[in-house]
Amino acid sequence: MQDMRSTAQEAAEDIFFGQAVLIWARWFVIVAGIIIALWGGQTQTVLTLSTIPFIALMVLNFFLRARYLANQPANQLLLFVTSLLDLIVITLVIFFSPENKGLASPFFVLYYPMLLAFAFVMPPRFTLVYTLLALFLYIGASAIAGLSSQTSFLTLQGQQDLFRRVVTLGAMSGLGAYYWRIQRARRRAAMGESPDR
Amino acid sequence: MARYKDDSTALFPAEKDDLIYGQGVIINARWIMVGAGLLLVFWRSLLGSASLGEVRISLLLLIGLAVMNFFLYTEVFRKRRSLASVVYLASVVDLAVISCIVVAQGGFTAESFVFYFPAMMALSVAFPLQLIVAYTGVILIVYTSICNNSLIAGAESETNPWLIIIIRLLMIVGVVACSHTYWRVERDRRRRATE
Repeated sequence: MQDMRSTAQEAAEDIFFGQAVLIWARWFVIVAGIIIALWGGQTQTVLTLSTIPFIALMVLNFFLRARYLANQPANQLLLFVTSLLDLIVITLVIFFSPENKGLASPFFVLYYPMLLAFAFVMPPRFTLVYTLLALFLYIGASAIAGLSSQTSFLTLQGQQDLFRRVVTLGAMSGLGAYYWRIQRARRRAAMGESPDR
Repeated sequence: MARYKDDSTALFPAEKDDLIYGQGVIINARWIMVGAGLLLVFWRSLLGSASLGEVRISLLLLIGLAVMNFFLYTEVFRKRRSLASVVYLASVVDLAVISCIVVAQGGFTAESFVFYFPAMMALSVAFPLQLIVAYTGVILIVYTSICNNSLIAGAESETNPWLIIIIRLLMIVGVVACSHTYWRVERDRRRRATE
């Protein structure tokens, strides 16, 4: 019972201290999204509609930051839901890009900091689920968008591009989870506990 | 905790432990890059979608990286500390190889820039802040120059290319920032735990 409670407490501390990383990652995505919206918007409607989701993310991030500063940090479920919202917003950007959508969209790079930050904060089993969700959303959006564009999985270039992106997106999550384990072992060793408890 | 023979010197002595623990991340990131890179080169060359020169350069660089990584991996496996300068230099080689492959594949239009992300993440959790800033700054300048040269040479994009370049650079900085923030968070947690 003591070990279970300590493990649960350790997980709660990971969330408490680590959510700053998620907040930072989200800021980078928000700034990138605002730049994309303001620079890439060709009409007032496109500019307005593409800015709204990132302003919503900004409000969310302010809320989470305020809770953190007030020592009322988000719990695991809230962090998972907010991180999922990030994935959805990024996928919408990729799917609805006016000029290049789906696989041709250059904005898949917004996934990288989110996947990495999530892997640093959450246990590996949650990271695996989150990564698979991200890849599912990205591949699904690319497949649907590819039905109406020349860039699709049917072309050799499209398949190779997808391979590179999937490998490196998976690498971010994998390396993040690996480093999470390393840091957990270091912390336990520093406290005089067994690293493999 | 693994014990290492204390036969190394470090440019930044206070960060020796970080380098020891972070080296595994760097080595694994490099294996991912080498494995994926070799698969892609074989794929492209067997289907004839890459020029002979591009295949030669890519194979030479990736095999060189694999040999270097194997050497570093055996050092870690034998629980010997690699000289910090060797690890720092190895990361310079990583980033140089990625940059060469990006140049060989067309600069701005080359998709291989995505391999910068795991490489930068790995060094951001192992290196001291001064080096992280230096490496990041150099990569931002190098990649911008590569893209600029290829755009001048005629590379095209339907979306404004400089928008794409800025977003890519911003995400590289984001990955570095998140990695180093996490390193700081964990360092502070360890200090609190031992006080």
